[in-house]
This record gives sequence, C-alpha cells and structure tokens, in this order.
Amino acid sequence: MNESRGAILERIRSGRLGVSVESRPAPPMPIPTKDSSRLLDRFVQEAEAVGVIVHRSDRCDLSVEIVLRVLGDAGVKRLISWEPNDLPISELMKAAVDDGVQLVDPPTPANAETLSREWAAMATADAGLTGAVGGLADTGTIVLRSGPGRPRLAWLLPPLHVVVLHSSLVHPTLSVFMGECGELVRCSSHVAFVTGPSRTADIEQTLTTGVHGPKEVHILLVDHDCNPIEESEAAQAATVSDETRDRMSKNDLVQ
Amino acid sequence: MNSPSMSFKQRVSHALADGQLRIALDRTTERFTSKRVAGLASLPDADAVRDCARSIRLHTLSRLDEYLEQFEANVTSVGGQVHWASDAQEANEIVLDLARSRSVKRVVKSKSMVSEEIELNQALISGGLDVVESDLGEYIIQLAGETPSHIIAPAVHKTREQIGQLLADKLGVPMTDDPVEMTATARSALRDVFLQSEMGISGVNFGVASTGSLAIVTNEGNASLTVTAPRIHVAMMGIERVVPALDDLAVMLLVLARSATGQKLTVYTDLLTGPRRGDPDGPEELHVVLLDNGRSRLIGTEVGEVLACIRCGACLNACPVYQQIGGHAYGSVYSGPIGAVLTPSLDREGPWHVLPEASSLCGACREVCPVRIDIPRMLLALRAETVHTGKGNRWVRVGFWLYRIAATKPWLFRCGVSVVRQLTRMFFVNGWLLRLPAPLSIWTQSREFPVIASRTFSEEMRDREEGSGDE
Ligand code: SF4
Repeated sequence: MNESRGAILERIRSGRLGVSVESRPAPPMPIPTKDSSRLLDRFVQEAEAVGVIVHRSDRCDLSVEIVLRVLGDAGVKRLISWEPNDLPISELMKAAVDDGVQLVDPPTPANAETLSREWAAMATADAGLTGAVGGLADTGTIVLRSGPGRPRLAWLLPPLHVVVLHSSLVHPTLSVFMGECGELVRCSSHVAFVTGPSRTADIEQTLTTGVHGPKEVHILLVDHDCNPIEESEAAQAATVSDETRDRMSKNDLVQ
Repeated sequence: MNSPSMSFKQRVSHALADGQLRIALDRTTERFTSKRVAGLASLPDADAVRDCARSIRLHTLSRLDEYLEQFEANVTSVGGQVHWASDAQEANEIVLDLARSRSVKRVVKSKSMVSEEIELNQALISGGLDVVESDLGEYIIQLAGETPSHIIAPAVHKTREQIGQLLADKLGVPMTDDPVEMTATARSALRDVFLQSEMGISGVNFGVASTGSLAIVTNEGNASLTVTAPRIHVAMMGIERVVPALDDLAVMLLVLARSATGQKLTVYTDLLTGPRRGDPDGPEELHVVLLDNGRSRLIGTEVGEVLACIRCGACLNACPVYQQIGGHAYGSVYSGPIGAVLTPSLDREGPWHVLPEASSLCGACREVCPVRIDIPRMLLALRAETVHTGKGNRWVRVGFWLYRIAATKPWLFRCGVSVVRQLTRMFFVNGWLLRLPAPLSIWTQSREFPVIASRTFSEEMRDREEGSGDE
C-alpha cells in the first residue's frame, strides 16, 4: 500500500516537471442581496421552486401550531426528532408528544461508543423533525449538521421532513456560506445541503419524488427568538457576519 | 477495463438497429440538453464561473501531489483512513480485505464510476459478498444484469415499458409503466438493503484538501443513506478528484449540478468529514481508496487535461454520435466524447484506439463542457498517435501514401484526376456513385460518392483568366 503511495506521487511529480503551475484563481464573489427581506423572499421563492413547502412565523406559539398542523395533516404517528436543545424551538418535541405523536428513539443513546445499528424502529417513523444551521437563498437550500442529539436519519429516512430554520441563518449563496461557516464543516462528521425532496429521473427522465428520502419537505422559517441551537462558537460561525451585511447593502441581488 | 467481445463497428450497427434504444435516447438526451442550457443560463455570469471552475481544476492538477498529501493528512486527522491503489486489482483487494477483516456480508453501493472502472462489484461478488446498487438507475441495470450507459443516467437506454417488465419479472410486482409506481417499488425493496448492510461503498465527487472532507452528491439521497446506516463507509475516489479548499468546492458544485441536470444544486450535497463523532448514527469507520489506474501517467501529456473532467455528462448528451449510438456501443465504462479520450488514455493496452474515431469533431462537447475541456484537440492527438504507432487502418495508410506521391507531383496529380474522372463518369447514377470496389467500398457502404466534375477548379480558373485577358 505504501509502495503504491510513493509510486503514484512520484509519477505525478515527474509528470509535473516542466508544467507551469497555474495560479489558483479567486472564486468569483457571489453577489449578495441588498436587504435581508429580499434575501428571505428569494430563499422562499427558490425553495418553493424545488418543491418544498415553506411556512413563516414570527411568534413562538404560532411556530408550534404550524408544526403540529403539518404533522397532523400528514397523519404522523411516529416521529424521529432531534433533541430539544438541538431544535431552534425546544418546546416542539414536547408539544408533538403532548399532541399524541410517539417518539422513535435513536436505538442507542447519543455518545455511545458503538451503535447497535438496529434501525428497524426508525424505519417505521412517518416524519423527521430537525433544525437547520443555515439556508442558502439563491438555491433554496437548507444546511443540516449531524452530531450528538442530531441523527442524520431524521432528515433521510421518513417520508416527511419538517425543518426549522431561523431567518438570521439564511446566507445569499453556497460560496458565502462556505466562506463564513467552514468551521462547521470541519467540526461535523456530516454536513448536508438539502435542496428539495429526494427525487429521481432515472426512468426516462420522468421526475418522481421520495425515491429514497422524504417525499415531502416542509421548512418553517422563523423570525422570533429561538434556542441558541448550537454550541456558541458554531452558532456564531453560522450567523451571517456584519461584513456580509455590509456587502449586501452595496450590491444588488441578481434574480 | 473489460474488453468487449464485439468489434466497435459491430456494436455500433447493433445500437443503430435497436429501435427501443433509439426511442429512449431521443426522449432523454434532448431533455437533458435543454435543461442544461436553462440551468447554466440562470447563473448571473456563467462564462466567468466556468472559467473559474476550469482554472481551479487546472491549478489543482498542476500540484496534485501536494494537494493529495494535504488531503490524506486531513482525512487522517479527522479519524479516516486513506488507502492508495495503483491499479484496479489493488483497489479491489483493499476493499475485499476491509470487508473480510470486518466480517462484512452485505454491501450497499451508491453510484460510482470508479467502481465501474475497476469492476468492484464483480470482485466483491466473487469474494462471496452480497452487493446491491442503490441508485435507482443502477439498481435497474443491476437487476437486468447489464452495465450503465450514461455517466449520470445509467438506465437511459431503457424505456419505461422495459423497466416495468423487468421489475415485474425480478421482484414479482404487477407490471406497470408508471414511473411513480416503479419508484415506490424500488424504495421499499432498497430500504431493507440500506438498513441491513454492514458496509456502504460510495464514489466521491470531490475531496477537499484543506479539510479532508468528501463531497458526494445525489438527487435520490441514496448516497446519503449509503454512508449513514452501515457501520463502515468506503469511498472510492480517483486521485484527480481533489479541490484545494471549501470555496473552490462551492464553485465546482455550482457548475456540476447545472451541467449535469440543469439544477441549481443537487438535492443532496453531502460533506463528510471523518466518521461519526458521538453522533447517534453515521459510520464507525471511514476509508478512502485513492485510485490511480493510469491517471498519474497522463499528467504533463497531451491528454492530461482530461483529468479536469468532473463527470457531469453534458458532453455525452451534446454529442451527435452519442445521440445516435448510446453509451454501450463504445464498449467502455466511460462513453461519449469524454470516454473516447479517457478510455484509450487510461488503458493503453486495450482495444480502444477506434474510439477517438467516433467523433465528427464538431466541437459540441467542448462547447458545453463546464470546465471547457478541449476534447476535439485530444481526439486528434489520439488519432495521430494511432497512426504513428501503426495501429491505424492499413488502407487509409496506403491511401494517404498514394495521395502524398500524387499531390507532390502536379503532372501526376492531373493525370490521376482525369483517370478517376473518366472512371467515375462511367458508373454514376444521377450524379452519384452508389458502389465502389473494395477497399473503397467501405465508403459507399453507408454513403454515396459524388461524381467528379467534368472540369477541375484549376482548369476553370485558367479558362477564366484567359477569357478576361481577351476583354
Ligand atoms: S468532459 Fe466536460 S462535459 Fe464531458 S463529462 Fe467531463 S466535465 Fe462534463
């Protein structure tokens, strides 16, 4: 194995001889939006364009009500939820339980050394409830981050995914997000950028949703005060910085 | 790479005679192309972004060794393991050893061209493992016992009626031609596979040197499940798939999604950085297999640029040859214009020197390529190499040899023209020759040959000049 490593690197080096090193370009700076309300409008518009249902709320009790309604309308009986402290609205989980929804627990407690990997119970869940660490306005994308208390299967396995996103976490583009939240990537085993419901066009390019992941995705975009959803450093990294806000005020949003 | 049993010509004739294939190709390649155009157009400054994407790739390749070492160091620092494989056999052995030493029995895979290239499935299956492809297209292909025909749409050659029949035959479900029902059938069949496999094998779209992250994109979410539920994640990655940092990755993801399917971003774009760290799910172990298999040798050569390819598949859909014959006729894992360059370059011993001929050099591939790879230039370089190494068609060689003799002696050339003119004028039908004698019959098998005009251009010119002198 080590032999191959040396040989491969050696072949690359000898090929490189005489090839001029192309300088590394600065990626084009994405054009951020003028003000945050247009940023949010853009986010909603793009998310809806990829088939996501977006709800907005500026009051905590309204947010709870919306989530319960979505779960109720879909007839959800079993739910995979992130831990209350990992949801922007910590009351949500309890409210769902009070509403008669049964929680599907991750098979082994978080932080266990090894997992049982008995996913059978989780596979029976009708919905997953999560909180996003970011949103991308120009693609309608939500950013999710795995970790203790935040199972990935919650956004992957059930046919319905409900995700809560605070409006201050919406970034103009993927490039801006990467520039400002690189730390999130470094410190999480899995960061997922999810743009719409699971879909396939493998049969004659006919679009079908829900092939492996959820068929339906609901985003609840909230404006009111929330749980600080992350360990503070990560939360800080995830919030749009002042610098970006400045840039936003100088440039126009390209629609 | 597996060598096909039929000759390229035979494969092409087969493909052209296959009516179902033609229908499937017509229905899909066009839809792809129009979506891609719309997708790129939605970028504010598509050309600048493509230029940027291109220079990111070329820059990375120009110091690939350094970025690979950085990538390896960072994967290791977050708890992953990197394995280097010089060729297909070594890569397959690495994966098999991992599976054996961890008593793995069931393996779930998400689509990976690299594993197609090294025929990993066959290796694992003959090693006694259960291997299931989870991408819907690949799953269909695996059920049918075939190989994929398109980089991003493996089942593009099948009509929905054929797929419905296949599912009915293999899974015992009622026959349907409704894609929604077929998709639901596949969902439930694959559910158990994800949740019960001990090892998940994925490809890698990009590896990020500065963080040791793997970027993997799918619309179905099958890669996400493949790398989440099983205990072990093995990622198969070509050594050229590195990018320096996260901001470079953002640019590449942007052009990849738009060029592949016209989407702004692929539905599931996963960034995986090491195995689980106290998470309630996710893999215990992460292994990255870095595959060379002929790539490192290309750096600094005339076809080195081919390593900049991000496998978006746009050039396939744009290619008039691919549109007619589909992917299987190429006989190789990588088909279309990019396959015609990549295949003979990676596998120099294989019977691939005919592939670069399967192009009209119209340049459509270069036009659509998000990283502006000059495929026609490399096709020509490969054709030249074929001729220089004596692998070309004997008659073409003889023909050019004769032509060189005649063309460098004006009197001989004029004689030759008048002889050929007389001959063609004896056998024409409506101004065309329908059949020429061997070896020229190769030409008239598929097209007609025009009769040579009664006067040559230089004769005309001479007369005109003399005429105008008279005035
Ligand atoms: S050569 Fe260009 S267009 Fe063709 S698959 Fe590669 S990146 Fe896409």
